[in-house]
Amino acid sequence: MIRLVAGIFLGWILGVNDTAKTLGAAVSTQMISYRSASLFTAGFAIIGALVGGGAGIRTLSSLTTQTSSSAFVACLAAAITIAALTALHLPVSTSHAVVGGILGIGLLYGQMDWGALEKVVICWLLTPFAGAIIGGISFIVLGRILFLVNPHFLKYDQLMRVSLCLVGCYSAYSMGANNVANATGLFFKAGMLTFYQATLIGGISIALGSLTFSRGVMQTMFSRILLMNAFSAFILLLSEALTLHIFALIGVPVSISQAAVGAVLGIALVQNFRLISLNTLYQILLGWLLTPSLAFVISLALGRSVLI
Amino acid sequence: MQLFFSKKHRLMEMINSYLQKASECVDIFLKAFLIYLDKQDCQEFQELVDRINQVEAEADELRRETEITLYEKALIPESRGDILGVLESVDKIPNKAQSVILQIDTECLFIPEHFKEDFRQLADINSQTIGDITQAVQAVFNNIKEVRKFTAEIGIKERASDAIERRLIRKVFQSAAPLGEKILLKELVIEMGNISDRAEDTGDQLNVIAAKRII
Repeated sequence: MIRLVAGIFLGWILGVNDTAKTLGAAVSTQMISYRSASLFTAGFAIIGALVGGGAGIRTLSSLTTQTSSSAFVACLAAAITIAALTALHLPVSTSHAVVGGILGIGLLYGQMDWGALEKVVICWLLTPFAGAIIGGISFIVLGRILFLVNPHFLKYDQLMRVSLCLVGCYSAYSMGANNVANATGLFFKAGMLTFYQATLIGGISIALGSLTFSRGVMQTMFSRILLMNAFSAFILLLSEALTLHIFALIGVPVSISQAAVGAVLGIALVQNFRLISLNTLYQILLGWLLTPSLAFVISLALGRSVLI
Repeated sequence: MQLFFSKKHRLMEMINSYLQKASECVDIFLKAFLIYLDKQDCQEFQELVDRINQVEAEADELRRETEITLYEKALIPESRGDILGVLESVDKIPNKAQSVILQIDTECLFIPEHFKEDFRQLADINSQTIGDITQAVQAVFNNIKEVRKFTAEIGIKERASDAIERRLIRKVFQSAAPLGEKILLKELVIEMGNISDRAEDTGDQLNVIAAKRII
């Protein structure tokens, strides 16, 4: 069971990094305190994991066979990848890192379900586009409704604050549903956990990350969020949450950051802003290529020395 | 159904009270100036000088209280920043109106008869802008689509004020008055014209707030 620590650690990293992307905006608008945001994120992440995390666990489980040792190696490879890329200030995705780690194990054992992997990769490629489409459509439709309703300034302010809180909770739910597989899916496949245990422990590990070290990341995110107006921030969060939820239903863990980048691009396109820069494309490509590749190499190297 | 939480309702009342005080300040300016044009320095004018000082101080007090209320976790930072900026900007208008009256009082300005009609027009057009500003600020809260209608009016009055200023300054310097008197009158014209200039600056700020909200 000590090997499960690698998965719990991955879930914890997810909680630390992604809490700010859920209720960070509500904290920055002073709708709720940081403490309350952490508690809400933790709670809704656990609910999301329990209610919506099953499909993702099944998908990751189907990629290759797993033992407790190989699950540990794959998770450790993902954790090292995340730590290294974060230290280098490069874009990183836990979902991509875990699949890269699984690929290393799969090649080592010579048993890889390429069809399932193809499904995962296609979903990764679609993530920013889905974020952009959902972001653009949401911005137009909800913006039009707001324009027609034309609420009082202070009522608009209250509406935005409540909306940011609600969509933050939904975002936390989607994060739990989409990412629980990254934390404990491999250990379910290895037979160390039942399905229920995998969703619960995975959800709790994400919640622990939210409750412990997410304040620093949230404070970093504050300045970025405050550069957007409240409505755009709401659309961004809603698009992120919907994108994650859709892919959770499909059963593929995807990158919350890429969903966010896509949503920002979608909003920018609707407003005719020239935000599609080479740097943005570079960030997306790097996310697609670097994280899984590095995790794959580390997983293969670790696996050769530990498993064979 | 109650539309607002009590704190926000109180905030609206405070903003409206402040706008009323600012308008009262500019109304006193106009009344005092017209009396000065007719009767020069007199008891009535001095009473209005004291009154404008009092009202301007009351307006400042209301503004500070409103700003404190803004910071009692009432609004999101974006909204708070916008309202704070507007209050600070509007405050420059009654400040300038008070400053002009004090300038006339302390410098004991003599305004020749043949300039009085132009000065009356200048004072009148500049004092009208506070009414448009009040309506524009209220439109930001109640019906943001109407903001530009009121700010456009301010622009028209500001341009009219500029035309009167240029005409008046030209007349002053073409007259036979001593140079010192010409300079003092020119300064008075410019200071009075600054009332509508500041109103226009506030109007520009309100347009930006409206543009941000209209999606």
